[in-house]
Amino acid sequence: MSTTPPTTRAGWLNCEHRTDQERCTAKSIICRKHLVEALKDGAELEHYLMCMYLYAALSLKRYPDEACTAAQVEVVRRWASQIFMVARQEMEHLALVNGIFSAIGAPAYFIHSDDFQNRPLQSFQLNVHADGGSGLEPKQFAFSLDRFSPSTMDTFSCVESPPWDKVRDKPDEPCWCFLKPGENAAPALSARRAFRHFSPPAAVPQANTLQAVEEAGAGTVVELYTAAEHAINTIPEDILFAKPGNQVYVIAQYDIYVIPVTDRSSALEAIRLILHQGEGNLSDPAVTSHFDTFVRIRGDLNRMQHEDPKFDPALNLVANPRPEAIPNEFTRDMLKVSAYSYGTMLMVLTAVYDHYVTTGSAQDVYPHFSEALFECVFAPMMTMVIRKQGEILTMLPTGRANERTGPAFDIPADVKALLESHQAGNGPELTNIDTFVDRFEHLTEDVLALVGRVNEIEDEVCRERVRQELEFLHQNAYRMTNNLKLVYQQGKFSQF
Amino acid sequence: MSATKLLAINFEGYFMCRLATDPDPTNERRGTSGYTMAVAGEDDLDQILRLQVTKEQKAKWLREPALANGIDPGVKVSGVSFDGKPYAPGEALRGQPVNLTGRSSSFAGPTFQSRNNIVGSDDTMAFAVDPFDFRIGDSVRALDFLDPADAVLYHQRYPDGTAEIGPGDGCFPTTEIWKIANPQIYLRRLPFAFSATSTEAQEAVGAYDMYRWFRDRRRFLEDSIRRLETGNDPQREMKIQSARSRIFQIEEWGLRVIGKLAFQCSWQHNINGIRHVGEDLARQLNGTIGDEPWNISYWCGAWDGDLLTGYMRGTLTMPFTPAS
Repeated sequence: MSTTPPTTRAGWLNCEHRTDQERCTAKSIICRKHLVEALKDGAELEHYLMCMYLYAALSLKRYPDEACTAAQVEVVRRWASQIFMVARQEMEHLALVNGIFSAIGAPAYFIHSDDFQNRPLQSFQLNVHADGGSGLEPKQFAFSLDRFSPSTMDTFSCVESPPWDKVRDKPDEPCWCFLKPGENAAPALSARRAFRHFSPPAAVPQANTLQAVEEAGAGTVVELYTAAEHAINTIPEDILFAKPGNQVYVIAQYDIYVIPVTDRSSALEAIRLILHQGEGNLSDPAVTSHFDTFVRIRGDLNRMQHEDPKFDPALNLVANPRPEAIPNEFTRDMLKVSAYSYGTMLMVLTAVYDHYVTTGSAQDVYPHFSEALFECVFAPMMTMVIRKQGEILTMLPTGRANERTGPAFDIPADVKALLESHQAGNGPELTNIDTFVDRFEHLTEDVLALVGRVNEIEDEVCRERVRQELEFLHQNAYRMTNNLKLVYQQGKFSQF
Repeated sequence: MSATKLLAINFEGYFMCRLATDPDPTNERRGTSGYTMAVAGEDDLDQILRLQVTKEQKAKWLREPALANGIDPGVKVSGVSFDGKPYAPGEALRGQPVNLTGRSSSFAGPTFQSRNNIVGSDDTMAFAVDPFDFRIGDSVRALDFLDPADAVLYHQRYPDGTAEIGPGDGCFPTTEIWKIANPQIYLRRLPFAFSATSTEAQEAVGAYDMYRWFRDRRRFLEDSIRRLETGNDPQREMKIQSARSRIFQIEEWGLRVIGKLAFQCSWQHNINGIRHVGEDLARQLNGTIGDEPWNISYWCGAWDGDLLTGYMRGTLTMPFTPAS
């Protein structure tokens, strides 16, 4: 159905259309309001995927044991390296989407829903169809934090899959997206839509089960971003990019390329980069993509398990951890500290993206609010705090035999409320340095408190290892708190 | 009045540093996301900068083809001069091992301190080497405190300079880098220069063609895999996968690994702590060591991220008056 473009500024901005023919659809977005909603869905998707990939990567073993030889651990390490790289690129995608938000004057978006595990992606929505209409039944996937396993790799391959006709080296069937012959379908997942923001005016109200692709709005990653591309191409550039914010500069390294978005051309390039890295260059299938990476790992895993049926590359991490379901008190409290840190990081990212000032620019004067946050959020926070806490969690017992956990990637309720209030243009907390200093001091104290409790860990080897990790974490959190204050006052240290 | 003349002790050689690299956390033990790793059969990465490596450590950690390529870790005195001219009495020092000792609460030896941009910068190569307890054999010691206030305190409490220094019980505790809020305090201990295209560094290790260096490395690893596949080494599979991981890193990271052969990071600072020359050496040097500050300048570079080795070259100077 073709859409007649609006003729008024209000129409371009807020979809104040007058006729049915002028409404935005899932495939044809022609106003800024619905573009922002669709990109929020994009941001949540990149965020969920990143969490899932990180959880799987954290579950991979680093040392040999009775189910994983030293030789096998080397293969597993390479898998972990690649999955962490894909997760980093999802962070890059999240950064690119937020770069587009900055460019079109929309607030940064680093939120995800509380119940993302109940928002399934269904493979029929992923536009993957078996050759010859063999009648294969598509699987249902949930956004789920799961340990690395064959089914996890099925999910990852399917999520990143391009249309079937673009897949090179096809197996007999798109097995990662469909049930095996004789395999029973799982009970239908809660049918809340995966993409919760963009609701085409023509869509039916949320039903109990999804019956057709059209009801889901954008059903595939490619469709979502294609619709966003269409909007960026269609909405007049001087209207869409009327009030751009400063672009956050992220150094290009470790396979991350966060290009600045300042106009239509760079916004389209950002979307092309997202799709290229995910599904692959659809005109050049030789380029390595997330899909390609996952399919290769999946193939290697299947082969190795066929050769050695007792091979298990992953720690026994509980799926979708919740603090209230963890019997071990120390582990439960570590999980809470991890959630607190994660929430803090999302607050910092939001503040950085909405108030960014380029180092050395004319705006780079006291108080150096943006710089103070920028200097702490990437390598320091992401690598030395969030990832480190995730690794510590994988060492800890849940209280159930042989079971451990990883981070829950929950956004604490108070942080969620603050971020949503910020989205609505309310709440000055994210412009006040004291908000962040307070949180970092709190985090430092919490970690120190856990250091004082490590004797609660029964296993001696685990206890000593966790003690060392927590002490190191405390040192770094302590210094990061001081860095925040010092950079706020004096700006970035010139040698750094 | 005349300028104080200096005795200059030159040193150089390969070092080993089994360190984690971004985006792994600083204290990563096996290596997952970065380009360095401890492969199967090797001990955990420990981040320590080692200027001397024991025979046992080489057997465990020094990967092939290091020795075959003349890469044998061990920094040594290469010459001694006075006021720019070779100084014969200083020949007593030639060949003596040079070492960095000491430990912190987190690491069992000196490390390149950045902590993923928390106390330094990985982007500008702004690392302090800490702790800095420099020794030549058993006869020379030059210890520098990261926080100059510690130097003042130490000298006040222990004017004879004999108290142990470090995090252990009964030792003089130093202010560790993570506790220092303002990096201005240790600015003197950060590099004063960094080059990513240093011909001096490349020349030191003979890596004029960096791409060929790693093409040859890759060929070596592939040949070793082929030999293992047809042999009957009981650890065959482990060694094959370890070689594959090394190839993976070179392929995956490309220029990030290759280009480090031309890196050169340079430091220079006075020694504010212990400055000691043993009695025997002092006699052999046949002169008087003055009271003015000692100074050390050195560079580390030519980093081989596959072998986890690099090259160091530097000079320790002290005020000196030869006996007439």
